[in-house]
Amino acid sequence: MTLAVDSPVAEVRPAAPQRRRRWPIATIATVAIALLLWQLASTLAWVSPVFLPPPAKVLAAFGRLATQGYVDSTLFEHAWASLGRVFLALVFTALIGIPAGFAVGTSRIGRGILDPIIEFIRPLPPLAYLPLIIIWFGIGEPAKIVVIGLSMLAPIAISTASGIRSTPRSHVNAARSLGATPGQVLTHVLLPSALPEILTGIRIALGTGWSTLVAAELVAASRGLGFMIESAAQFLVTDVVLVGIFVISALAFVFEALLRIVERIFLPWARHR
Amino acid sequence: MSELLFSNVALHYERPQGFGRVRHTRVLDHISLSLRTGDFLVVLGRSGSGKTSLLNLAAGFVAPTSGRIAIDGAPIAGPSAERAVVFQDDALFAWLSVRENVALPLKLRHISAARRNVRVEELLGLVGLGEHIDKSIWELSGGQRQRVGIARALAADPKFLLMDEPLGALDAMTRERMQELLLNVWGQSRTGALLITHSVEEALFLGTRIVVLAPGPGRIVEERATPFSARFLAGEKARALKADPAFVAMREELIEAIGSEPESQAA
Repeated sequence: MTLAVDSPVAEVRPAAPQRRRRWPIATIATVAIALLLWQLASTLAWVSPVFLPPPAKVLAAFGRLATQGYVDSTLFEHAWASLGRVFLALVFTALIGIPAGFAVGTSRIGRGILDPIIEFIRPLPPLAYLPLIIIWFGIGEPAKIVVIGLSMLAPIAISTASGIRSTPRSHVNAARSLGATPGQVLTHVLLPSALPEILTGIRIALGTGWSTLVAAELVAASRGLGFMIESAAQFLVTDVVLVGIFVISALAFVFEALLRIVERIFLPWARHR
Repeated sequence: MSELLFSNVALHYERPQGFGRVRHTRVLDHISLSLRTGDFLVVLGRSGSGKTSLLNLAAGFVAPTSGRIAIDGAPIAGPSAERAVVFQDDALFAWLSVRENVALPLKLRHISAARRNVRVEELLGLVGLGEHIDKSIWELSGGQRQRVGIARALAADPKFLLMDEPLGALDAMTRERMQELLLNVWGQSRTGALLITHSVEEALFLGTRIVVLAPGPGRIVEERATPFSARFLAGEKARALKADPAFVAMREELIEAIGSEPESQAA
């Protein structure tokens, strides 16, 4: 038997108005003005080309780096090495940070044990603990991944804990009153509810990871964007430095865009909470 | 037949006030009541009278400070699917579709996907949402969401259905239609229903029995049986029942009992 109670007036929710897609005029204008000022600074010799080479020279350096490379590696190989380090660090840190965040968010004992550790690491600049990491892990790849990973740990753990804590009490109670065990509450309610904040934590962590990359690649690296920037800076090859900076920025932008797409596809409900 | 029994139950909270000071709040005192399967018990009272605390006790979300709450003689120990709850804020899971929300209690019990689908379609048909089965939660209106919440609670196959002002946030028209739906669903399931509300008219229309709570601390000041839900299920029209002189007279008596204020002010 069907007991329909549809009220055409009250029950129908109007469709959300379609947002018109506009060209980001202000963004394009900002980039154009920055490029223009940069070109003017070179043409009118406001700044020495040694310190700020013109855009055309940087573009040429980009082509040269892509084909001939710099210090035995092409730009792609440098970028690939850095991407690998950041990605590996992200995977390891997520494997540690997300469970740690769960422990902090769900248990007083977990919070008591892990909160001081996370709060200790959180404000430390990577260059401060870099020497210690080298002493502990040597100068190989593990040290670089640990340095990048440590800088990513706090954002991921804190966001996860915050996602757990912001789960409405009624959601947890609803699951319990439907027969969920504590483990089922965790997997069916707390984890999915915290996912948007975990993703936000990963986005913040990627930002700090990229900014730590240069510090990590200061140590006995022979490949990587941070290494490329650092070694070019020592010889005042400013166009290569700028190419390195732009590539890091572009990669970070691509990661951010990918994560936004992931959020839109897999967590469409997050915008409707 | 099962019975949920409150025996001289009290609930007191201790709230830290800083500097080691603790404030004791007596929320409920001397609560004794019984809810049997097949009953529709409505708890009516003003804000602060402890209505939601009483439901939280029945659900097992909080333990009583003193007294005993038992089902068929066995004390309750925490929440359980035999006492499914419908919440005022619907508490639906936005990451699940309508179908998945209703299927969740069955999934938690490891019931096969095929059997889950049959039961979910049956329950959503019962609450009139058969056409919305694969929609996302955010695509539904407030009334539709509450209906999903009711279907989800029924999917747990409870002995008792506990409802915390589920119609409180709905507009007047939707609320009236939902009251009728609620009675029809209850009439078919014959669970024991416990509804919290501050609306006297809703209490009179839905309940087989009404318990009135007074605040400071929450205590039962009146308990009475009402015939109107049975008359509705026997075929009388809802509007005619609500205009019935007996209904109007009882409404006035209850308004008097809950504090001599009109219900809109008592809310």
